[in-house]
Amino acid sequence: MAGLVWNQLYSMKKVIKLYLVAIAVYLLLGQINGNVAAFAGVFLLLASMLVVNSFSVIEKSNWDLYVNTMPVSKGQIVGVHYLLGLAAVCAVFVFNHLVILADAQIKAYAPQQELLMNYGIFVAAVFFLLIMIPVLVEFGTERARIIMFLIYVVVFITGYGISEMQVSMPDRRQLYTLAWFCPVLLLILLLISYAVSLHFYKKKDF
Amino acid sequence: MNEALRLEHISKKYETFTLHDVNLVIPKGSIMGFIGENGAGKSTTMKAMLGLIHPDGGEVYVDGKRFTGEERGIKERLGVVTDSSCFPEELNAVEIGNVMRRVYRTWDKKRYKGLLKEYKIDEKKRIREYSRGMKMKLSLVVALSHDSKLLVLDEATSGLDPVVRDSLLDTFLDFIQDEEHAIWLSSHILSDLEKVCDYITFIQDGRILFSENKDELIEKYRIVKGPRAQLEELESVIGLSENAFGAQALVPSAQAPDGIASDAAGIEDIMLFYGKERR
Repeated sequence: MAGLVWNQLYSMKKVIKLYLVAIAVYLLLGQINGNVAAFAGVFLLLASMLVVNSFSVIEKSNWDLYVNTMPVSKGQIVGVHYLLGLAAVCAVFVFNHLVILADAQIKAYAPQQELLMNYGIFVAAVFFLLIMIPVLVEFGTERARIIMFLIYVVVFITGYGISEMQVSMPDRRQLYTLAWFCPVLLLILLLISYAVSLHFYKKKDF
Repeated sequence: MNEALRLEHISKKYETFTLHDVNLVIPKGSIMGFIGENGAGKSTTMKAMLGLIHPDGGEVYVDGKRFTGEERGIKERLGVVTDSSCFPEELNAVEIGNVMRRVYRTWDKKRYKGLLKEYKIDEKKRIREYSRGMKMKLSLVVALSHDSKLLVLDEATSGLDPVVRDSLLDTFLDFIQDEEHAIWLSSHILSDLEKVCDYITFIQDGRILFSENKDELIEKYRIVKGPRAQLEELESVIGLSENAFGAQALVPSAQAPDGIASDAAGIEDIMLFYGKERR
């Protein structure tokens, strides 16, 4: 498993560097704009997009064929995508959290709302990952990109519809309750997503 | 157990192609050449052996062990080179080594370094900057740097210049010095196979036509030359061809008639005549 993780990290070092530069630019923009926390969503989106790059690198090199001749299980091959995707999203979540706390300290404000927003975006990013990985395994990056675009459209239309219908939003207490349940829900979704991806992968011919 | 590899009744049906009941045995200490036209089923058979496709039926045994169920242990002792490099293009040879030592328990770092040096592979260059020959050599170096007992080489020498090919063939012969080792090599370059192989298996349209000892195979057939009408009268003609200089036919040596000029048949002749006959 460690070998597969290293392979992905080596393959994506250029992309990771690019993402780090992008994060630095957004942090700078946040400083100029006076609202560092506003860019938390962008960072998390970038982190969740890493998994698409990870699949793309593999497709380009035909690595999937080769790795299946090596003494590693299909579960490990699929698991690497989850490990890297979740590690990237978690790292950015912690980074955002620290940036918000530092910003709040400097400007002397209570950051509860920003932290909750960061958490909400983190949950959305993990949810996105867990939906996307089985899609990428089954359809490959070309078609998965189209599906990803459709997911964005559906989410946007749903959000727009809800705002137009003036549906009452949950209050802060309800949001906090929901936040406590999210890790359990994501864990269940993770298990389902992994099982589905593995099922798709095991059916594949190389 | 004296068998490095045994394929039993492997079959796979696609919409436009079927692999029919493939049976094959590679003894330890030998090199098996796997020949056939493009699309005859060489890669499909090799992929079925490696578990890269799901066969509809049949069993694979490596060193007497059933592949299904022992897959990970067997793959630890398997070296695979395909017709194209499968390493991510952004990596260099050092990074490939770092990945592989974490994958193979028997990875031999010293041997890897030594082989890189021997094959003059630049350790710092990215794979994408390598020529095709370099990529194939790196794939082979990786296959030889862990405790491989069986090498599966699918068109590993195609597209390489004669000097590189010759050096790879020497490596194959060195590898086979260990009686526990074996090589399964598919190639269109029949002269290479003639040089190094102990056995030849010929596949056509998804069926194994023969799988025999190379020397016996070459002894077994002769090319007879003469007027077409005369050759057509011969019994047991396997294949017949005609050009501006006359006709020639492949016949079993035992039935080569006296009084007609004949030559020894090479693997290429045998493959060509078998192919023509079946069409």
